[in-house]
Amino acid sequence: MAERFEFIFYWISKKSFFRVAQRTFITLMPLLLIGVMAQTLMTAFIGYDSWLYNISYAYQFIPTWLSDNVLYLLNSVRFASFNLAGLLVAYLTAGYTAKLFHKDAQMAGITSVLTLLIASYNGNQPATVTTLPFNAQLLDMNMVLLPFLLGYLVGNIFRWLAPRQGHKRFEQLAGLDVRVWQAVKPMLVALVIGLLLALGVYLFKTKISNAVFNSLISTELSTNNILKGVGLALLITLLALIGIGYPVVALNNSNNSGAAVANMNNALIHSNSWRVPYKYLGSELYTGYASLSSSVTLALIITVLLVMHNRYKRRLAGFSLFPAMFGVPTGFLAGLPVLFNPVYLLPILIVVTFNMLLSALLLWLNWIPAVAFPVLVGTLQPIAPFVATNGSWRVLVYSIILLVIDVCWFRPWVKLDMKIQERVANDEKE
Amino acid sequence: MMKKNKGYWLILLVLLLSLATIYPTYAWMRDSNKEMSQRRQSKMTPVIMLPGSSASINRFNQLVTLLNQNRKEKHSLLKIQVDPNGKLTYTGAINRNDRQPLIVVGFSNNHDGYSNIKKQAYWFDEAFYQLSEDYHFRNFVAFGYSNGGLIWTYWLEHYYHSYDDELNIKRLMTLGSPYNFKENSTKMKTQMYSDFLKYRKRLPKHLLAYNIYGGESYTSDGLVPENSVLAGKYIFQNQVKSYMAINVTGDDAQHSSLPQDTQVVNLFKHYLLDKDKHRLRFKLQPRR
Repeated sequence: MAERFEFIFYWISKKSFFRVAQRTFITLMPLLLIGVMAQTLMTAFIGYDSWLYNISYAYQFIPTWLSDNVLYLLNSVRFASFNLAGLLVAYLTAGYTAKLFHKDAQMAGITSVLTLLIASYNGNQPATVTTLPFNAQLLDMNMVLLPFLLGYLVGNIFRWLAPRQGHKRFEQLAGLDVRVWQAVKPMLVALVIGLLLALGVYLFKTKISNAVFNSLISTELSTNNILKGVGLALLITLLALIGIGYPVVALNNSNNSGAAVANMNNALIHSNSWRVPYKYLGSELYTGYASLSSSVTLALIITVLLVMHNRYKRRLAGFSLFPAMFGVPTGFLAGLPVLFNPVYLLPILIVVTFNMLLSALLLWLNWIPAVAFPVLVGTLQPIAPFVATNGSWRVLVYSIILLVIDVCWFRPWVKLDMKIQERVANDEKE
Repeated sequence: MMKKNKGYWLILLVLLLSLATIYPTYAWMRDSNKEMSQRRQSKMTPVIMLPGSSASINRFNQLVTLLNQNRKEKHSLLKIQVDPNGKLTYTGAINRNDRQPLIVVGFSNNHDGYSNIKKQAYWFDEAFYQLSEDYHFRNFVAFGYSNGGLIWTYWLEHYYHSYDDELNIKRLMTLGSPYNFKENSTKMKTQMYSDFLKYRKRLPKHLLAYNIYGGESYTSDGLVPENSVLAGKYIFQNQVKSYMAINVTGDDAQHSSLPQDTQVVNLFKHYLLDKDKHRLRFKLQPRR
């Protein structure tokens, strides 16, 4: 049975789509790790709403001009590494796809960026000198599904239409001329596709933006139905695993839905959250115990540190442990990679379901109080539910036990991933 | 085996670090939740009053006496004087059980003019911040006489947004406030009036606004032109939940005696204050 399982995943990971995905995200990882570090410093340490800044009462001794300037710099790092990552994804995906089929990777990459830019043109907004007329949400790290698919498509256009390129150590100038002109045909086809996409967006007034997910998010923020909450949580997690991280990020922001506010008011009046009106609020169950930016990724990182032998993966896990503690998992998800990785899809979805259902069960049994009090951004993830229940020690113990259970659950899957990685590595050596 | 150990150490280190942060996080959480809880439970709705130019914090003494006449539960009165350096001087006190204390905030520098109104709004904000920290109220009601109404408007447009998560202004009553200074027509817009119009979208949407003005002659209260007061319409109407302009005339309708005009006192009682509970209970006693 286990071998059959291994074979199925091995067979899937050999598909060009997933091979390209793994390569793309691993290449992108260093860039993202830098952004992740900046983000962690901002959301957990220096930002005005951040955890350390508040619990150390830093506003009493750190002058605002200093924090303002540091935040400005950190923001520039974060912006540079996250907000235009879509362009790099498009470039890398097309490049790797073309390379896989021995075609011109560079020209495929450039063409892919061109196509993405055309498709994301947004001329309806007033274009001043300082703002580029592109839909920024399409180019963001939280929306890399589309750049990825586009890159894969452009890579395949090169696979079909461009001549074969052998590996050259250092090509001559004349050879370069030939290669560049050979890319004209696939480039034109990709251009037409880009134009059609842009036209479609323009004609149908499609809103390619985060707003598409808003009804999904607002339902999760206000549903008290456990099954509905878990279902939406699964959808949101699935989206995050295929490169649409916006819903997870949005859920992590403070919940201002009527239900959450009612919960908080009730909790604040009674100084505890045992009797809140909406006990099983989907978003609170999810962000408290099952979100990718809470303990789930943390459990996976710990498992990798405990189990994996590959020193680079261990190094990645080591570097990611710190940001993931404070709820910023992006670098690790791209670097392992977890994104577009069929091996981790199932265990993560199961763990989300399990964590939410178990928490709901304990809530129903009245063993733990609900998560209702405000929590600072960047609070250490394992103790965030503790803070959100105004310091319930039961919840603290429960979240630690849950973390241990998750680590045990991920163990066989990480081992499976190791075996598949080994098999793929052996194949590629031959 | 060496490599494996490294992983364990890292996990252990992080674990210890998180354990070390539990207490400070816990302490912060306790304080912050306690403060928020106090605010949620607070039933106090202070009336914060700003006098006009050239007036001191004692400008409303007579009004307060009239407001407390024939009441069993007297409103307590706190007066705060703000110096240009932000120093606050308190006179009087708020009774602990007073649900509607009256708070007067006055300024050492009480001169007229737009630039000074901006400064006064800043000084007022210093006092307001301190009040909100000290008394943990959630709702409040605003009253501004003459330039006091202009300071309120400026403060609502420029400072209020930093409080509106936690605090809520319910009503604003301005009395003889020259929104367009001495100008008789809205065609001649003063700088201040243009600014008020420019930022009017920032006014809170749920606010109930009352604009009272006196009529000594048919066109002014003797000092402020009626049209300058009524220019307030273009600031508040369609921006806040409701806006009402009220004209009072009679013996005390002259600008400087407006605060002690009987009609103004009644409007103040009616729109800004709760009914006296004792009298109310007597009236509503059920028939047996």
